[in-house]
Amino acid sequence: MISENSVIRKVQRGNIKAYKKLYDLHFLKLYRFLSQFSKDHDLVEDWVQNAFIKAYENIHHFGFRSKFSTWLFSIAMNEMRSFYRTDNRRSEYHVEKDASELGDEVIPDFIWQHDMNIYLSELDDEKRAIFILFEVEGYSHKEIADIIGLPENLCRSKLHRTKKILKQKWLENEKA
Amino acid sequence: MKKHNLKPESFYTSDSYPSDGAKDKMWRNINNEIQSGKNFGFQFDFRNFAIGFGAAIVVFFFFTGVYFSAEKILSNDKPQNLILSETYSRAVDNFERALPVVLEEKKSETEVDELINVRREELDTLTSAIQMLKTEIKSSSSSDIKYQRLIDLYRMKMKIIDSILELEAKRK
Repeated sequence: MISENSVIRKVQRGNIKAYKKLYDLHFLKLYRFLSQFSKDHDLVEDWVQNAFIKAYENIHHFGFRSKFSTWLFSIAMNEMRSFYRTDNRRSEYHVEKDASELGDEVIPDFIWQHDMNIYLSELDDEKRAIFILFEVEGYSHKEIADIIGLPENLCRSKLHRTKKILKQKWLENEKA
Repeated sequence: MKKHNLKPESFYTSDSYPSDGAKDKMWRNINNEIQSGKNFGFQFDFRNFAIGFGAAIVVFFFFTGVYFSAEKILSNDKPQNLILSETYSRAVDNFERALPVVLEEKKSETEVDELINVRREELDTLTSAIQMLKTEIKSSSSSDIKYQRLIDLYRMKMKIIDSILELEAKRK
């Protein structure tokens, strides 16, 4: 079986067929991840397309220091964020409450409940992305830091805070 | 090892997936865009060009220094170790003289790479060490070991300067 790195090297030499292989491999994961930041499928398609185009344009800068998917996701995140930055557009779910009031105590084992999806969608893009990348896509903290462009420790603490918020909101709802 | 909680199939809803045909449609768009883009593999980057040009100047100064110094070695009566240390000293001086030419290109950038700062500190430490050893050689008796040490320090210094240049080139 041909390794992904050898496929990337072919792409770096201008082989578009090889790039189609990378597209087939990563398209779905990228699409479903980005679809968490907009309900508008046309918009998500634009982000995905632009991410793949920019990745191709810059493929000769890819130095094999990270996984291709990590690099691709970081490009896609920038696409999505620059869209929301333009004309001060914001993600339609950007209504996070101040999490600092929740304190700093350690969360006992976090267990995902399906209802938490609603609370997750209420958080800001960054927290949501970090949570999904770690808990769902299985990226390491280091990889997430590369994708989001934040220090690793900050990503860790944001994940911690996100879980705390989700758990607290879910418990509040259960009591009510 | 941290256990990840969620399986993608249980987290993502059907709404998170593209419609039928979207994948092929998007590839066609990407492919068209890629095909229409000219010279993706070679894009002129002024910053990289400037760094490369500066590095070439540094290399030129370095080899010129070594060449002229080596010439002197052949026709000099001084002890071999002393001549070698002087050669390295001159080469490093030339190397350092050319360094600002490269770094000048970065002057406008506000972000200073942490690693470069560390290398610069190492460079300062090494310069002091070289100075101390040179003073020691002058004031007390010189020995082969001391000269060898001096040459090693010069070699290290050149490596650090070289690594600063590499970092500058890699810096985003």
